Amino acid sequence: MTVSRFYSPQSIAEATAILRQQSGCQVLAGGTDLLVQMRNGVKQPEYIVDIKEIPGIRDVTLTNQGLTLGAAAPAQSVTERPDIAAAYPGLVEAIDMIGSTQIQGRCSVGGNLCNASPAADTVPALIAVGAVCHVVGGEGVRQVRVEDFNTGPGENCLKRDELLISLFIPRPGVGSADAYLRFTPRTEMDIAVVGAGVSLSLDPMGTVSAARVAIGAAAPTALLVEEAAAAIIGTTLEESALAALAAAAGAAASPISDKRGSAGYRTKVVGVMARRAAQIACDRAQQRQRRAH
Amino acid sequence: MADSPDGDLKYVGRSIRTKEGRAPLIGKAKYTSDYAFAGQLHACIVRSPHAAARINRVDLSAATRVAGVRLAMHGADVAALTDPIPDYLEPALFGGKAAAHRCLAIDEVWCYGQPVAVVVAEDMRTARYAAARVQVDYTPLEAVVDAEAALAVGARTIVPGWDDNLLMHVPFMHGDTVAAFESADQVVSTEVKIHRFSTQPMETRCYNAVWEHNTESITLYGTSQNPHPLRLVLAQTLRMPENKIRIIASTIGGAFGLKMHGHPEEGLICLLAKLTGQPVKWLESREECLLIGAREQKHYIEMAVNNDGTVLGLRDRFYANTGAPSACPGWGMAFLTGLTMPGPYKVRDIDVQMHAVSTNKPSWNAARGYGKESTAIALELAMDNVARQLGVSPVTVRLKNFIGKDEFPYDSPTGLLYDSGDYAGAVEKTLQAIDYDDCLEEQASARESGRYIGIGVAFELTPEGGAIPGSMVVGYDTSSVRVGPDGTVRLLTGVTSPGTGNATGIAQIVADELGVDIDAIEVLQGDTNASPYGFGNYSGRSTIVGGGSAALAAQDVRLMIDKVAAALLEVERSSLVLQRGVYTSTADSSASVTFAEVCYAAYTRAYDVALCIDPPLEATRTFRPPSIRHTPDANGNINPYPSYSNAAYATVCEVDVQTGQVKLLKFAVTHDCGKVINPILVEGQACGAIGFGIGGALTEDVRYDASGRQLTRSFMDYVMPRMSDMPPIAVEHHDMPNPGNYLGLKGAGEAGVGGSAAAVVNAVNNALQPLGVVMNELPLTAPRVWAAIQQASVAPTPGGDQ
Repeated sequence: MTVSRFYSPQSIAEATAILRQQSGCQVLAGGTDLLVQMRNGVKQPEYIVDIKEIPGIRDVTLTNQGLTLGAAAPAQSVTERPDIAAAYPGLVEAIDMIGSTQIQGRCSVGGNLCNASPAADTVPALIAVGAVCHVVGGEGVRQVRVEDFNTGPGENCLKRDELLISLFIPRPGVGSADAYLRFTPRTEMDIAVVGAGVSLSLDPMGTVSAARVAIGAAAPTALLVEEAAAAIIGTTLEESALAALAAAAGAAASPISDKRGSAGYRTKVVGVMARRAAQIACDRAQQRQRRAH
Repeated sequence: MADSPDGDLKYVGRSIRTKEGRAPLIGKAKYTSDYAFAGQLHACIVRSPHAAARINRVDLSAATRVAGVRLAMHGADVAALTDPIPDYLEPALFGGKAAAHRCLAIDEVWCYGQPVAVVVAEDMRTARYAAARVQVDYTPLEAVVDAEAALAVGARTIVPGWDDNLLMHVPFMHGDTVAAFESADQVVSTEVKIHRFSTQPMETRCYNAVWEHNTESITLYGTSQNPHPLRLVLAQTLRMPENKIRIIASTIGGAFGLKMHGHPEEGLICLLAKLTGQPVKWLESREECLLIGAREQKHYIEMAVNNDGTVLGLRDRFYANTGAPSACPGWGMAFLTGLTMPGPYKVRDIDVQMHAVSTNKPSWNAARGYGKESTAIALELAMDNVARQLGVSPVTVRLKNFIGKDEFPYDSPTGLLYDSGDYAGAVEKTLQAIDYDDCLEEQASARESGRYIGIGVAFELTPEGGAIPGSMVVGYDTSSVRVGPDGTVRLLTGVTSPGTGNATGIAQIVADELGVDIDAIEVLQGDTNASPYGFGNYSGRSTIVGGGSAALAAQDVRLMIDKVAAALLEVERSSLVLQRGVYTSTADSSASVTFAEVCYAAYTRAYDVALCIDPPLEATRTFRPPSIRHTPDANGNINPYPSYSNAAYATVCEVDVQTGQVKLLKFAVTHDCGKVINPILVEGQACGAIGFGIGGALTEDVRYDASGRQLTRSFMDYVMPRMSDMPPIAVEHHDMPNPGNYLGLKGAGEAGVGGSAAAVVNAVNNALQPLGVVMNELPLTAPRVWAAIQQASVAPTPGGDQ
């Protein structure tokens, strides 16, 4: 089957109307997943709805409240901004792991989320920093937390006429920071065997007062692991706390075994990534505290 | 004549930028798949999903009904019009078994991915669509995938009519091994498992066959390393005279042995062009390319050693899983592994038993190193094991056993005649290059802080330029030098380039011999209607014999030009000086004529000044390295190699014991490829081969399930290193010129795979020694290293060799 029509709506309303009227639509942003899937015959949409012409959908805005990422904003529009990297170092690390320089000029964080690969690097990083999806559909607007957005490999919560418009990430406080680490056989341009994102806040005494831990490629979707966060809240990340964090992350994992790693290996290494990410996030938070003083 | 000592015009020894490098760099190189012709058709091959099966029926009817399909064929159709594909290298020459190799399987499939049917259509999509509609009725048979299991009593024979699955058994024996083992202080056993890994050129194979109606002949644009020998194979397969076939090998995007011939698609695509009367193209997918295997061997090594580290004797029984029989020369790698034992070591009493085993895995083809990499891996892992068992430094053990610098030419126990080398000197340079002593200190302090740093050393001997009697693997090659009336040079050579830049190296040699600017030289390779009969590229031979023959031809032509110059200037030839394109004479200061003017005179004044030569200014010469010996010696051995390149390697790694990931921190190589024509080309070759070795040691692996289905199908699973995965590599040269070859060349390109893989494995084992982990089973992927650490922490076996 070939694509019979290519839509380029100029507004959200127009886009959702097309999605409502036509079945067999596929939303196109950067296309770095979709075009490959179409070429390989994995997806054969009849209609393509290119959302890039919708005003504001490629915007990236950082305010005192937080960061708003338009759903079709290319990765590069985030990675080239030192102010964003300063505020969300872990998230930007994750975004910068996607593909090559050329790919980053096209691919979007929103698309990475909607594609719903269990191994997507940005998703655990987004969950860790508490990102919220702004979704618009025929029945109105709703907010979905990133950890609730994907429902399985290649599946997300969007209804047929719904569109991800943007992601909002609240601005971290003075004693807060995030980090993302993944394990890959290669150093770059590879798919995560496992990944882990951590954000945490330190109180003035250096104790972890809040934390979010998310793991990727370790289950059908990226997971928020509250037990792992609980393991470090109220601690100063001493060895026993980190070990408990790693154990909780591993316990939450339900990975597959494949050529890239057995389930046992992934379960163990996701804990290693989580504890190391926590340590990095903590170091960054301490630096911020020092700088603020 | 007086040689002009004009430093500016000597090209040999300098890092000249490649003449052929610009087009690939800017994305404009014309690769085989870039050729397209009017009426171009496309072929898609239907491959077996089973490792072993009987073919009951192939139904092409659904495919032929698809609009746009021009032809569909199954094995019996093709067999009626073709003969079996001749072996590149006949196992029978070495006492092995024979099998009929067909373009498409007829009654049985012997491996996963074997071609079973083919569809030709007006475009690729249609061909693929129709190919999916070919119905093949198979009865699956028990797949034999493991080499040692394939030799077990009662194992199913994979080729009907064979008694067993042993393609060939060759003993390599010398001296009195029994006595050596009896007299030794200790015997150190090491089992080494080398996995199946590949060479994966960035450009996959492509064949575009054009039926030439004017001459009723075929022009094949093909990714071929050896166009002339392929032409002979096609002539036999297609039942056509050789002179009705022309092969053009365009720019090649990497070959590494994988594009040596014997592939079923070569003849098949030509046949399809002949039958349709139209150009037919087939472009291999990455998944198809990954089918082509190599290297998988299991070694059971015993070394008889004295407590001072002297190795008295070597026993090695090894099994190479060469996959299904094929016409490609891959199986020969197993033979070479045995032949090149015991490598650089002065061990006289050896008993090496080589078993090349046929299985239902896809066939091998040649792969950079051609078995010599496996010799290095097996020996170097075993040498480290000896060092561990004796509690001495791995460096000491090697230095103790190397053939000495003054012991060349050296008769090896398998009959090879090593030309030259300074193995100990190369190791010393390498250790300096990585600051070995500093590394040892760093390792000690890292261990105190719970970090695992390891240092690995290895040596590799890579005989190059091989020639096997009675086969198309020959030791010589031929070049033509043609100088035109304008003084520019056309160089044609029988050696081809897989993208290594050998055209530039050969042009440097010719520029020096002729005394011309290198930009005045154009090199043409890979067209059987233009080049002299030649054997292409393999075995690091291209600069040895391509450069050697081009030098001889250039010398002949230079003599002709000098004669005409002397006649023009009316001076003695011995008084001529050629400098920057101008001839002058030491006898007459007013005499002056340009090189181009002399060349013009050579063509236009054939009845006066050029009477002294036979025009045109052309010569064709062959270089046949003299040290190859095909007459058996008293022990029945031959010396198939003219040169013995060698290299020493050292690397430093850090192992992340929580994830099993190995990070290489430093790498150094000291390379002896004889006289270096162009350092940047040699270094590029060395670094590329080291990339293969590092990838092979750590991440690359072609895997199968128990039924013999190949699981590794893309670069996502086949983890070749990228640039960013490579450590910085310090390349040192340690030239010991080959006394028998033009300019002392030994050959570059193959050295690097085995030595670097062994150095990496030795480094990892060195890093993990405190944990009691020793891994001699490749690859050392992170999950496997991690698992070995887990296992050792449960049951520590310090110094154990498994």
